[in-house]
Amino acid sequence: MPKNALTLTAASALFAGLLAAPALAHTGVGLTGGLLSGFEHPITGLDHVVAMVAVGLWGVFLGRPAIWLLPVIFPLVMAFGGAFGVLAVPLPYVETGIALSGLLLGLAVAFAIKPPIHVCAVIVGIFAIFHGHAHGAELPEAANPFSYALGFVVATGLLHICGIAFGYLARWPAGKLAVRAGGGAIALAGLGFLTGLL
Amino acid sequence: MEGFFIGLWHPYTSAAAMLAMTAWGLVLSADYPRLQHNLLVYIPACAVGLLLPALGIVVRPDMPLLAFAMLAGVATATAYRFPTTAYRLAAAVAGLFLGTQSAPDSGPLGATIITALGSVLGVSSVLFYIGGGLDWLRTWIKRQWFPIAIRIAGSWVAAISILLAALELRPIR
Repeated sequence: MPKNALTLTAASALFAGLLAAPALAHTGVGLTGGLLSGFEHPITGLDHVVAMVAVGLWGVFLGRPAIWLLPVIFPLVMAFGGAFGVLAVPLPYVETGIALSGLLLGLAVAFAIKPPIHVCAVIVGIFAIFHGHAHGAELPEAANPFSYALGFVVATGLLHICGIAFGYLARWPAGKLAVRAGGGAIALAGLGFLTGLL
Repeated sequence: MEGFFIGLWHPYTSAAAMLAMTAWGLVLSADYPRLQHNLLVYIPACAVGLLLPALGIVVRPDMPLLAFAMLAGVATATAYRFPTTAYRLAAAVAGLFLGTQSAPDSGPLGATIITALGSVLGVSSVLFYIGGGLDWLRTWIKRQWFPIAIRIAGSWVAAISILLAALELRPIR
């Protein structure tokens, strides 16, 4: 990715961040239940879905060990973000961070950006904290916190696996194009969340 | 025999105990032929843990079990190999707290012993199933994804443990 394109992307992301509206998955109303409720939480919020799938897709583009390292790192760091949410430790710009994760991870897939693995781990880890905080903030209200936590951790992992499965299309030239187009669509969705259009 | 089955099922009714047993089973599965000897430490430690409430020693086992599950989950996720002594210590700590968690209520001696036997079997069976079962599966599944799946499972167990530990630490409002 050219340097000026990166600067332009960062500037537009920052600008869009200022316009961010609350995203989809966290209504903050209603009683949170158990396993199904936790499972539904990541998969019914499109902002979570696109980011989780993008983690899987990016992992495929990066190859080994990122393909499995990112899905191992993400839930662990997400849980620390979740712990902040459970303990009601305020984290600013949670929704903005979640929307940015879709935008930037989508761009990383679309432009097939391949930074060193530790940089990828840090990027994914930072976004995981925002996603975890959003999930964790609703955990204390759960009728069965264990089932709720189990549900949303497993759903998050399965979304990564969906991304990895789709990413394997990149073995073929046409598939590679499809995967990068998918990354572009994810980035657009992220931009939509940032600007409040979605 | 009712007490035996109550004891057998008791560990499965606690989220902290389930997570600790699963995480410990995943750790053992990494090198089961070498690590299964730790069960010789684990089972007596369980028996000691079962006796603690009867001796008037009251311990709240949930937080230590969640911390144990978290560490064991991270160890599985990172595929870190500890020295042998560390595994023995882990077996003793896990056994002690899992035993305490499953200690039977006071009652007639015979019924208490039967229930305690059920508890020991309950807290050990998950280890045999997960540790031994995954080791057995490894001999059949030679694909590269299998150890990766175990590491991902370890990270999931650690993640859930961290969340539940945070919930334990949360001040009551």
